[in-house]
Amino acid sequence: MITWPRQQMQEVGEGILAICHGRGEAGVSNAACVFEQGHALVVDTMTFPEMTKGMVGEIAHRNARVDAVLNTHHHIDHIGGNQAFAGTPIVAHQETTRQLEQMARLPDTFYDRVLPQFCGRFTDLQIQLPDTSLGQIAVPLGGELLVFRAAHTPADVAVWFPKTRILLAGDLSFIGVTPMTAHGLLSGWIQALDTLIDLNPAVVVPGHGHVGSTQDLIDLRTYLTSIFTMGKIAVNENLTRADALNALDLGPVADWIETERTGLNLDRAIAEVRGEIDRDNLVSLPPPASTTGNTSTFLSDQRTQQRKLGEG
Amino acid sequence: MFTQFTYQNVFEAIVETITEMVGTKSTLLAETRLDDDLAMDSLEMVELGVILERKFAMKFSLAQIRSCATLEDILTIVLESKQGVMV
Amino acid sequence: MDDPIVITGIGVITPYGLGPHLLWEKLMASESAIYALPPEEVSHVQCRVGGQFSAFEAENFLSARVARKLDRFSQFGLITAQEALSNAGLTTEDLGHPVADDAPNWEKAAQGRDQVGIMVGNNLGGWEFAERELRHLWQKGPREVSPYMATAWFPAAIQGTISIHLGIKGIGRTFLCDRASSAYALTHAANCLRRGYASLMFAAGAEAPFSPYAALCYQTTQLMSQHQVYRPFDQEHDGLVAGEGAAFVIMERASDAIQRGAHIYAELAGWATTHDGYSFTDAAPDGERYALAITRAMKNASLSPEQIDCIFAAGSAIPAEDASEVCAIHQAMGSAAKHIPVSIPKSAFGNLFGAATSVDLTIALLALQHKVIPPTLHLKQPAPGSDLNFVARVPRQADQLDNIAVLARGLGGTNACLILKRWSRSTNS
Repeated sequence: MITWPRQQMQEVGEGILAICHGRGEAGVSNAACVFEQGHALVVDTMTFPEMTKGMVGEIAHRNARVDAVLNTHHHIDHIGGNQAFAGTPIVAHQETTRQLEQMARLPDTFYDRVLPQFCGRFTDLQIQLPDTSLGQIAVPLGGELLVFRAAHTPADVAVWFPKTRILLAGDLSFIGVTPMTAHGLLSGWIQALDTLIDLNPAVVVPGHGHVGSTQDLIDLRTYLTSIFTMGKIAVNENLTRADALNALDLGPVADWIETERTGLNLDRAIAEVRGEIDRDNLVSLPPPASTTGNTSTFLSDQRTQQRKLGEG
Repeated sequence: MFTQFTYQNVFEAIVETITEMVGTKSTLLAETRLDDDLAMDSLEMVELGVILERKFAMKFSLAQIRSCATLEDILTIVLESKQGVMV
Repeated sequence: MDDPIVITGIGVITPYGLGPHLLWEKLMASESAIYALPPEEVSHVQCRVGGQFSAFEAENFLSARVARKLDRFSQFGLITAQEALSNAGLTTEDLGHPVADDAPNWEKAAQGRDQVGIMVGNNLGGWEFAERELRHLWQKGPREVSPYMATAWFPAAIQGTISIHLGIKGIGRTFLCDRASSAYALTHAANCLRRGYASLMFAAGAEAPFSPYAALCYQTTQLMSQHQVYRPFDQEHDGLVAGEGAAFVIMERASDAIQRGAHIYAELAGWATTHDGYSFTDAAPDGERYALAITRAMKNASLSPEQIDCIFAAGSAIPAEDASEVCAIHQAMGSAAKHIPVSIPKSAFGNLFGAATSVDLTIALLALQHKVIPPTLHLKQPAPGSDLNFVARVPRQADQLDNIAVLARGLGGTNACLILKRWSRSTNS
């Protein structure tokens, strides 16, 4: 039986429930629920159906009916629980649906490797694909769907409530957790954050981490910009990855969890600068040797960097 | 059952009792003052009297206990009581 | 007139444990601290659950010498008083003030500490201590009764103990009015500051209600829950569940607080108390006098109902009291009653009786700080007629959270309302 970190439910505004999962570590993510007069829209469904129990219970307490489930993007930790809402329309951007169709063909062992804490559970996981397009649903409480291409993934959807200035950002926002750009484009994500920052939300519910505000979007943008800039410098001045990582000033992100992603993010930045990936071509690079478990210079570089930060 | 009523034994028993009562780490001497040095108040003196009665199988009056200003004074009333029950 | 009364230090013990951070964390997690009580202590009563700080060991916080002489309620009080003092950035040395050379001798002897006072609310006193000593008396005889019984049992023991330990020489009172006890302590502390009787006030509530005899007395009132759940305003509400703990706040006049660079949690902007004059055990069903306490407190705070952003209700879960509380809120708030979020955070850890309001006030201070309203647990379906905007089951972030009304009422018809206002340097200094 798998276990997962504790969930914390909080109403971030009247009728908008955020479910924050642990600290947002790899494998678990946040979800949300929007209620209006007995109707509910579920935004993301976590990694496995059993993780949605708390949310489903709260929906029952409010005697609400789930009209639709929105998947903000195609990652397994946001859509694996779709089956808990089988029979309900599942809504996503068509690019997200396309990505999911490809993902459904991956072997279970792929996820066992990526999320080893849930090893073995993926065998029984049925991925419930979206069947409804974005234009076909109405978001309760006057919410608007915002679509961003080539940001965190090929397509990311956020939900914005202009009256209360609440933003359900999906994985466009990571708070307290180092973001992952493996399927996205740094420049696209930075642009997406520019747009979201301009909205000046009072409340931001991230895809990973605790509830925050505009400042947290700004902090993330600062981080991604630093990585992208370093990517350009690394390419122009022919730096080794180790030197580039050492030269990075992580700013407020320095004490976020999952710090090993910074190296991977730098790889993506370098690939973008070199033109190996762009808005229309976001193919994932083969994972670096480090993720298969070998202790590479990259990982030990990262640890060295952490020690230096601590010694500061 | 306390039986060896020598100066040394009784004194050690008194020191042990008071040390536990007030939780002090410093060494207690015969001239240590209950009030000034250990800040023992009237209720603590009553408690001390009851504990000593149990320990030495004797009876002390409240006035006797209250009259003790130092550890030596307590030692004195214990040893003197051994000769007979003081009411 | 206008030197606002502000809160500059907090110290709290709840069934969750010690300290405001732990308390807030647990409230945000919607975690209940109500559990089955030790069977041997409650086999004779029907309410067998309670909010107990079961891991509490007095000697983790106090010396054995001090702890031994105090009942649990006084231990809670002493610990939280010390916490509040250091939380306010003060030491016991700071409680003294320079005294003029020509002041009377007694004033010089007091070293200015007569400007520091203490107000405590408590309901039961030290029944755990008392019961134990009564057992010694009847089973072993009078010499086996602890000499500290006299000072440990009575409800004013906290006032006395803390005055001694912290060197407080100013005005002091202990209030006993059931679940409104600490509300009175808090309002009187504020009055003392406003009238210039003191320059710094400790105000508190403390309660340790888990003694078999006390439980029996409560059972006799028929106000305790029989279904082992504390569910204020829920359709299945059936009475009180007890909890233990204490909360101390440090109160000062704003001018003094600002001068010493204190951190200000909030302003106690308005307060009022009234009496039903109806019955010894039942609250007046029309809630009229209760409504008047709320209205007067708002008037003192110069606030209209529309400006109240949240209400922490008394929430006894006694069906008739819940009903009359809904009436009172409607009467006092008018059309705003349907919109103002109402919560009863004590649903998570039990009713601390004499300490209830002081803990409610502490939670309200934290709510203002974080701008989140803690939830009312176990509220699935409001009782018929309870048409208020309850914050149920999960915490609610509030876009606007500046003014919170904390309500209290006790057996015999005492009603109280305290209003906290967000402290903003720009508008107040």
